[in-house]
Amino acid sequence: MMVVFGIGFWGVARLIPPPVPSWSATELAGYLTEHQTRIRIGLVIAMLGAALGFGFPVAIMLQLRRIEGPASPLAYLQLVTGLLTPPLFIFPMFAMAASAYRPESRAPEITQALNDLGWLALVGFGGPAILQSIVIAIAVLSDRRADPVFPRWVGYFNVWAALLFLPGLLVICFHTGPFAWNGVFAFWVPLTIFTAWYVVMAAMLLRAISQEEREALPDSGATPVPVGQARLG
Amino acid sequence: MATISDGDTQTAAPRPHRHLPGEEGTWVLILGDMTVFAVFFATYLYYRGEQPELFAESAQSLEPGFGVINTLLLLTSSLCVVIGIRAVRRRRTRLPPALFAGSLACGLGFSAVKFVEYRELLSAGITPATNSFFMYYFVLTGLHFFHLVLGMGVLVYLIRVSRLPELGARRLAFMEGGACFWHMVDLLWIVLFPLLYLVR
Amino acid sequence: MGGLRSVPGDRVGAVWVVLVAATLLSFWLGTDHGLGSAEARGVLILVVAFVKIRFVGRYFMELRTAPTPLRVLFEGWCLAVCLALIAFYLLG
Repeated sequence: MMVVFGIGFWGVARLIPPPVPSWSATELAGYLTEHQTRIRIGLVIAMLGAALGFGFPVAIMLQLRRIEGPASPLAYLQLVTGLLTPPLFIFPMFAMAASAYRPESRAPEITQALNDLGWLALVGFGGPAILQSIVIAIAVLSDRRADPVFPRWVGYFNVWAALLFLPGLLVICFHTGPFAWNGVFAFWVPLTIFTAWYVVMAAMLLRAISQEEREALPDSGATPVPVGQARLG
Repeated sequence: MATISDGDTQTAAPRPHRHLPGEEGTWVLILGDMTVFAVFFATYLYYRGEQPELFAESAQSLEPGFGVINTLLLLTSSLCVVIGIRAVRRRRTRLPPALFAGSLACGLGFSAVKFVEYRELLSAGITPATNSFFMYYFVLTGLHFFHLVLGMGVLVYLIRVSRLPELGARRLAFMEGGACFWHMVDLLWIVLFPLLYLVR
Repeated sequence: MGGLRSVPGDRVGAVWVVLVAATLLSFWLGTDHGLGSAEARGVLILVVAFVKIRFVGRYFMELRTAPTPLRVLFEGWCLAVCLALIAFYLLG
């Protein structure tokens, strides 16, 4: 997902770095008119990429279930919050697409409003991601198995990631500076951490899946741990 | 988790017994968070450098006394935590909960002072949008306060768990890690207080 | 159940006193007392802050007895951030 999204959003559309929030409406309309084609094509690619992201929280959920057992509220909570990520990428991109749809024949303020909607939503919708990371952290740190599904540091890493996503929520308050949607702390830090998070979780998922396959082998010598050995607290 | 460093058996003096407080992952979180805050601090000083008079003048509206009280509260709470953790290691079950509760009380005191401070500023019409200085003031102290609230949650956990007679190595490591998180909250305020209130 | 005395303080109590004193010193310096220019006082306050942080790390976080890589990271952070902040402060 990240690769396709990156190609679309960054490579083609050049929407990273983001358009400056403090541009006037006419400046923004001019920018969108000038770069219309590549923004549109890039957004199409990026939206496809975002849709690929649906499988990720499902995979994480399946692994978290191994920690919690059949009644696994944390795993399902993670699934729900994680499933919101692709739509929360796609919908804001549609708003951006709408703003780039016909900027040349429309009042610039309207274009700006649609663009605002897109960027504020894309960068500012931190809540589900924060909750998803916290849920993963709780589940990982409460794993009581002798051979944990995820290494302990993954739990702490998720706590840190959640903390770093937090400043992203502040975009609705600022037009310029480090907490605006193109700012260091609201955009670049969360983007970096989100990418790192994706890579880390993907690597750890592969490790957990091969661990699961190993435990399922009848002659592996390892006693398959019955699902549900974890206790919270 | 105790790591005994390699000792050269030929030397007469024994190597010291090295102990990692918490777990490895704890320090991913703590050092990572400290680094991000360090970037915040540097950013603040950078933007202050662009408008030193504005920042100095705005800082006059702050009351350093509040900052001192908050610093002393957090220092005391950290003292309680470290004595508490040591008591836990010695299998005490009555002293540690009391000490952690004391830390929590200090944390609540800090929160109360923060509320008073914010309320005073807001009722004087000063908000994060007033100017650059106050944006940094509210965001930095707000982010720190969020960590403080998280830390108080950890303290509640420590109060509960330190009553148990049997802990196990993993839980003890987690408790140590939680204690270090609280010390980090103290540590960040030790920089924040002079940065915002004292450095002109 | 013994009192606080039976838990070896290992100097954390003394450390606390030092930290409190340092805080009051910074407060005194920062409220426009003391010698020298505003810059000198600012730098001194920052240095005092990081000395305090080292104490918190070494005695409260118990890093004095921690494995060397961790201590190196922590001390490194203290030194780097202290110098960086002083630099940003003076260059402003």
